Amino acid sequence: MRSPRDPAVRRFLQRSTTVRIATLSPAANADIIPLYFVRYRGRICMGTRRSNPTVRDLIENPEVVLLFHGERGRQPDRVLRMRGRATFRTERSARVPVYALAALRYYLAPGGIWNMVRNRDKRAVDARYKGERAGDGGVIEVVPETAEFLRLPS
Amino acid sequence: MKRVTRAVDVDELADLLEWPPRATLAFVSGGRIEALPVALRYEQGRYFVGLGAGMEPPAGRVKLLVDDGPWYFDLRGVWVRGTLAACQARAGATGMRDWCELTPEKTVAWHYGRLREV
Repeated sequence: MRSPRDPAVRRFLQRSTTVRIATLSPAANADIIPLYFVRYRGRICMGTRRSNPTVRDLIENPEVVLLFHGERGRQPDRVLRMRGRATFRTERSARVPVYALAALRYYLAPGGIWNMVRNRDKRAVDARYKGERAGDGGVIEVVPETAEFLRLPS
Repeated sequence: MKRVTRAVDVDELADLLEWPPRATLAFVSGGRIEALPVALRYEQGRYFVGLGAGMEPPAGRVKLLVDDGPWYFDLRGVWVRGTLAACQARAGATGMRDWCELTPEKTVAWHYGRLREV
């Protein structure tokens, strides 16, 4: 087990593009979804909507498991698993910095810009998709408590 | 009234399931949430999950996630909720794993590159 502040953990997070967040539902079922994430003030932060079932889960059961695959790294046989406690925050001071960091990481990176250019014919329908879901946005904020590297089943 | 959806039929993501870049499994153990990476074989619509050697299949409902990305319109994935039961090793599989078959109760697939009005 490592500290979430371990340099190897921080490097692995930098190389990871998506997090899989696992939660326990109120009915005691396991949930897991992929989300974009950023690191902010020692937390792992993910923008999403209040209506997301994962948010419903973590409000009831704040303990979560996060899996990172280091997709951009050279060790595809390792996965980082972190445990922590999650909250859902909607205040502007929580949303603005996380949304800004996520925009830089995912939409204004070269790969993100190229993805938007290649799919420019879908931008209008995407705007309608987001418009239908506007108004209940927030941030899942996880305070990491433990971290460990796992070997992928070989 | 029309709505925009990202939902697709799971058959449309057969390539993702047959060549998954990663697969993860969430389950409940001792009342706590647990998650770990797994191997996946998708054979003729059936889901076979490879766990670490010697690991018992988690009891109760589990959720399998297979996803791909990372750029927005490339985001796609499948999740399957169901139960696991131990099965024979898969033909052609290498490495030390114990295999289980996942019997689906519910399957959801999505692809942001196929956003459309329905």
